[in-house]
Amino acid sequence: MLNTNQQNSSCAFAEQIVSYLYGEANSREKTKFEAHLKNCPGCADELAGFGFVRSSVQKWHKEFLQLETPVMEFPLHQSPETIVTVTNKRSWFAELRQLFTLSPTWATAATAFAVLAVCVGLALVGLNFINKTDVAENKDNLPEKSISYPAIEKKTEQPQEINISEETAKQNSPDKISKPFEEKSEIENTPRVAPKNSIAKVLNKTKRAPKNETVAQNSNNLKAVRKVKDINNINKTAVAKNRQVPKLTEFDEVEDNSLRLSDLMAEVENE
Amino acid sequence: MTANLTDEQLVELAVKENPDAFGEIVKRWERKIFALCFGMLSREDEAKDATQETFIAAYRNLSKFRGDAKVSSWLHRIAVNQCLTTKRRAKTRSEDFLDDETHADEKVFVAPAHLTPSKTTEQSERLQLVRQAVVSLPADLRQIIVMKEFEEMTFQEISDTLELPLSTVKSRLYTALKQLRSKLKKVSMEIV
Repeated sequence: MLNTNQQNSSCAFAEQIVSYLYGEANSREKTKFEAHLKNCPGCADELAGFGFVRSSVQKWHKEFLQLETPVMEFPLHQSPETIVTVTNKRSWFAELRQLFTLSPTWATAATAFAVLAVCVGLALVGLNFINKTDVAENKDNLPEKSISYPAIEKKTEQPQEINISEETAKQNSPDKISKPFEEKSEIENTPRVAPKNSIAKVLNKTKRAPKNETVAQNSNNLKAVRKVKDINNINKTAVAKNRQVPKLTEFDEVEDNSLRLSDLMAEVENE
Repeated sequence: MTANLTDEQLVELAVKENPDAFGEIVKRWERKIFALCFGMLSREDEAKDATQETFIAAYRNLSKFRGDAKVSSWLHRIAVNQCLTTKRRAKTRSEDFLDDETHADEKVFVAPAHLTPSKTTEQSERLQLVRQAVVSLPADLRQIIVMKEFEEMTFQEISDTLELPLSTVKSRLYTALKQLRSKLKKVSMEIV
């Protein structure tokens, strides 16, 4: 317990300062103290200082006045003995705060565990992403390899076509017929390379042949073109099979060239 | 009916298991006890909890109430003990309460220089410093300040409630004001 007498001012009016400050001094005490204040700068200074302290505390009191009185939550109809359990009841906020302030060690351990879990999770996600990327790259490579098989099949169906076009080309422009053979061999050796310069291209060359041809040559051409037409139908079915391949490849360009063959047919028939 | 009875008569009725009687006691004193707890703890949530636990403890110990003491003294004593228990519990939970009784004299609450960007911030910080200064007072001095400023009791009422001589109440209040002044001195020099 504090010995307050030792801390009082040396002035005999020390206790009367608080009575005067809080307005609880009677008129006689008030008059006497005011007379003392004129001759005691120490008491005047203390009175001013206490006034400042009191005004500061009163501002805090104003904050309290805005608070609502708590509603008592205990059943008065119960006997005092049975209300023991209610005593331990705390607000949810207090419970929550206690949970997190109970043990700094526990909080540290929980935080460390959470950070570790997040790191492991991120690592797993990263590995999964890398695996997916590898699989996607493999998928990009696979269709080209798989497509090479129908390409080869297509080439096996084409020798007739090439021979026919060769005959035609011999009659029209013999200097140009060696190219398809060279390209064919290249295609067979490198199945991934699409047959850009296939029979359709050769026929395009025949399309540009000079118009002053003889009738015999025209009849030969017609025969050759009919055979080419039959082979073209076979090519169309082959192209239709190729369309089933999931990825669009250069074989579709063959189909485009074959469409141009139909233009040639129309032109030849017109002639 | 119970409104006209004194506190002591209400307690007698409550001891005879009249719930309305104790409800009347709660109704009369809950605001003052809440003010006391708020002034002692300076935190609203803890003050609410302490107020509730004060009345629960009083209700549980009705049979132990001695008729020679005042009900207000009895309730104030329970409330102050409850506040001290709450603060002790908070300290063990490592909360950032100020040590109110250890090195209290050495503590000086100085407003940092960077806390003067605007008047509003100054007022808020000043209020916070006042609150910390009051909470850092010794419990017996703090109780007098809180009863005087928050419960707005007269010296005689405080004297009756605490069962202390009137001169002791005034001396304690004087000492409390003096300590608060020294704690807030530098703050006032920077703010005023």
